[in-house]
Amino acid sequence: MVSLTGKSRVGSTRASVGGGQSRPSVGGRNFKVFSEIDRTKVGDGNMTYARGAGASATARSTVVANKRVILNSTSSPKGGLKKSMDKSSGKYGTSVGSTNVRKALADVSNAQEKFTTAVVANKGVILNSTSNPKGGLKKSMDRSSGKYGTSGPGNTNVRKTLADVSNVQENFTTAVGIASSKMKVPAGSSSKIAGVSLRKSFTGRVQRYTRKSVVQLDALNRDDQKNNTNGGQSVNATKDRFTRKPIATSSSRKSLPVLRRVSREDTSNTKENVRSSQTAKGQSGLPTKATTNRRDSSQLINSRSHLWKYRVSDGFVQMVQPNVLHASSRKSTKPIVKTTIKAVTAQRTLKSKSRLSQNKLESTTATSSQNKSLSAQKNLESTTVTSSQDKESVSLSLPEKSLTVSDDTNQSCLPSGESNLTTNLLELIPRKKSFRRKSYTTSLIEGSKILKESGDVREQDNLPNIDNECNQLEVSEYIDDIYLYYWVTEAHNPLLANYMSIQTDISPHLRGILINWLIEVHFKFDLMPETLYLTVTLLDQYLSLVTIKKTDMQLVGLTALLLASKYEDFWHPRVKDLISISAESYTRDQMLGMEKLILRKLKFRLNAPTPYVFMVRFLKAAQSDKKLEHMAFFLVDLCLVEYEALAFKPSLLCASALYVARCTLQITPPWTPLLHKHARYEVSQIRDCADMILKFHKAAGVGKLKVIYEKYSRQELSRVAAVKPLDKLPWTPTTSQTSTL
Amino acid sequence: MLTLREKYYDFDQISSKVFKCRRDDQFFTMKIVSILNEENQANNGVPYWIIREISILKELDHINIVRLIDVMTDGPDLFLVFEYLDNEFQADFLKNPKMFMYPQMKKEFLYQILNTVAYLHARKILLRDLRPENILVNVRTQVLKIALFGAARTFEAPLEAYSSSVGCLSYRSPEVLFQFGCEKYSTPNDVWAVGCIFGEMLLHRPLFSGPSDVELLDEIFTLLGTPTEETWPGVTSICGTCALMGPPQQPKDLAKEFPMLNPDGLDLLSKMLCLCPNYRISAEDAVKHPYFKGV
Repeated sequence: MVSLTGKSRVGSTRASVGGGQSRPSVGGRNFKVFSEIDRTKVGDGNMTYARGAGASATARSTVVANKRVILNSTSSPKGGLKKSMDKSSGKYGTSVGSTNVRKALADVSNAQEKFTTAVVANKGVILNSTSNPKGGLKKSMDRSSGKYGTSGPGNTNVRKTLADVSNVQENFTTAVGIASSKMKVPAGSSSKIAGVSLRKSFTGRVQRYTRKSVVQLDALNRDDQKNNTNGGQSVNATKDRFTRKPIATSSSRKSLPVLRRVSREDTSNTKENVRSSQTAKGQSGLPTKATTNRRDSSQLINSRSHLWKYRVSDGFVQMVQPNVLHASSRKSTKPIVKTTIKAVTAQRTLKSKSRLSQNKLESTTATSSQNKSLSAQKNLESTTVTSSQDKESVSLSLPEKSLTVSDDTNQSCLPSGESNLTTNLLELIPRKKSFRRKSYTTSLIEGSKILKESGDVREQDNLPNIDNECNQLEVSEYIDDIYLYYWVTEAHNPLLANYMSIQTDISPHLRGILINWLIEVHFKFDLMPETLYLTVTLLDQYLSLVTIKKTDMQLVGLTALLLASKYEDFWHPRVKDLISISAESYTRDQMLGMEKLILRKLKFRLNAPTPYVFMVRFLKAAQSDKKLEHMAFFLVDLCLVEYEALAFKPSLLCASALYVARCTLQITPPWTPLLHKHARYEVSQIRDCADMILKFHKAAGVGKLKVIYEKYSRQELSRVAAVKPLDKLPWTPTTSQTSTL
Repeated sequence: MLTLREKYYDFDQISSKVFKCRRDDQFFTMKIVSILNEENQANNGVPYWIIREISILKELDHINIVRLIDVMTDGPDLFLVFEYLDNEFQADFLKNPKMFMYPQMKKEFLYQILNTVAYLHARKILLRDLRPENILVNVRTQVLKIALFGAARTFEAPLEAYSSSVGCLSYRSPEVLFQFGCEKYSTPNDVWAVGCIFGEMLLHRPLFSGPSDVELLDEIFTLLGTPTEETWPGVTSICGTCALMGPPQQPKDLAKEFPMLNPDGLDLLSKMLCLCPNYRISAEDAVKHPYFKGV
């Protein structure tokens, strides 16, 4: 579908522009079209209707160029993309600096990787922009600023590029200021540049509003209601703007009360807002405001899509629908209001997360910028006077795209209803945490005087314990025997290796799917790592005692998560939230009954020797840094979804994972005497388990259960998933002899 | 799986929620815990503190701790089955006049209490409300039992604000009295309570018996002196209201207050009743104190 649309568009472009020089790269030809039109604009002072048609062709070519870029990225290697970029940068010396050229360049720099299919390419573009927003924008800025001279229009474009970078970096704080400074451009510049400045200044202000209280949101709603009376004219004005007519048509009726209210509100803010207020009194204030509202709502929709990052299929479907609704009902502003309210709520909650890092913020902004251009193209298509066949193709392509994505991702997720997604989103947002509290097990194993004999780690033990500083009343110097309890309990508990033999309706594969999903749920509720390991332990212990039906598998998993969070965490999800995340598959009585049943079957013994308690101790014996810690936990997490790993005890799994992690990160020697002492294993004992873990590591990103791989691809976990696994482990006789000594 | 009434029978009520029951030839004490209460109006299942506490009690195996044997569920209630203590065990061991027949018995009982506290602290379990009412003693066998459920908490567990007017104040440590509704309990608080019990065994009356926090702190400072930054670093930041400190007082001579105690006992008592929680002796060190030589 994308390919067919692209081809038809290419034909249209060629017919419109006329005979051009033939080139091997289609992208290059489109850039040449831009330069011709721009040269004509600079040379000829008269505005004619034919030139308007040329502008329309330019706009249409932008769509073709962007699609061609995507297709180009699928068919040719990275060199081809680089060639296109070189050609486009060479054109800057002879052009005035069109917005479309810069936008296309940004898209090219964002799509630098190879993709196998068109649909995956679209997803890849967005992911790439989230992973490397600053780099792409910086490249664009460097290339553009290097080519520009000291002319007025050139400086304007340089400042525009800086404004984009500032928007990403400073959270829109200085955007209004930079936008205001654009009014200082000499009088010789055209009104189009002024229009762009007006639009950006409004964007900055509205984004500032969205971060204020609900009262401001009410003010925004009132403004929308005012615009509702002029809906038709606003749409017409927007339509004219997208067709790039030289003079923006002002509406016959000016909404002075709206402007006056805006002016009054701005006086209470900073001086920059006052300056923007003066800008807002221009002739095109009202149409620009309408455009800003639509743009702002689409941006906030894209902000909400960030929350759905880890629930792939259904979130995508939900995200697409508002855009379709928005495109189909141009004359009504109510969908804008609803979407804005929902998006504002999502964004406010997003920003209230204490763990939101600067990188995440950049990713969100870059994603918004990327999707803004895509949304603008859709609006352009919907407002351009085209045949009904084109409209039909546009509307059909969206559901097909979403269906394709759904098919890909449904295989790795348990099914859940679409109708509950909106409710799930609002309810599943975890509570804000001011600081990281310790879990129950961490408080149990903390403070033990392990490793005190060894001089190497005595210094580490003598370092001040930051966690205990906030509680100056706590004095805990006991040599606890909690670890002795863990070792004894682990030895006493039977292995859970073959418990599937008592099950008739479930399979190891189903267990893997369930745990893969539970890891995602655990992340979404923002629970502690200890809670995840206890959840899986309780699940396996229960399944080794009770034969269940396939339909109860998810109920047991969610109830195990509830129990684990009650035991470990300082906060546990509500039963209502867990029921909603299962798409109302179970009732409250069923979940509470399952809770009591699990407690009775496990005899209320929840202090189980999970992999976490052993890994924490082994990492201490290894004197590990952050990357080794994350790599070791990554490997242990890979064992959670594999039924095969149940053949080994948790302590052996942790020792083997740590061994493989040290080998993978080139740490020598991979097994030290201190590790041997506290992990209580020799290298020969962990060999089989380590080989199994290496097998899991090689298959990590390839299989369908990828939540763990994605979890450890994030920056806060050192991106250890990207580290290449070893071909094989170094089982050398020298190592064995050394450990024996 | 047997239901509650199939497994246990011959119920005999002891108090409002405590029963004596039988299974085969053994007797047990059963306590009813209702899950649905004012704290759990939303009904999110078994409360987290019950899950934690039962999980802890299930693992404890100590001669001086009342043992939790079984847990049953029946409808909205939990039934905790404890070992049964016959008539030879009497609650509130300090009120038994036979306790003081031999001076050695005081040392023996104190050692058992400290040994139990050290055992619990090694498992990060706080007693938090240790007082004579929670201690049962068998005079014949000289075995002491501490009942834990309902009071025990663990480190770092999120606790509801504990009103300072609830329960007995006599065994509260000064750092707890300083902070009304303070949620931070730790091991030194339990050691302070043991020190108060020790003093009460010696004097045959509570060591501190003020009816309110202010009066209780005044009694403490009258005996042990008003704390200063030198004796208790950080006390000015802990003490929210300077009015609680009162006029400066000098510590009294413990040897004159407790003439029946030998120098080792005085040393142990002064260390358990040290005002600064960081300087207070730990239960683990206390059981190794020279005072218990020969026990």
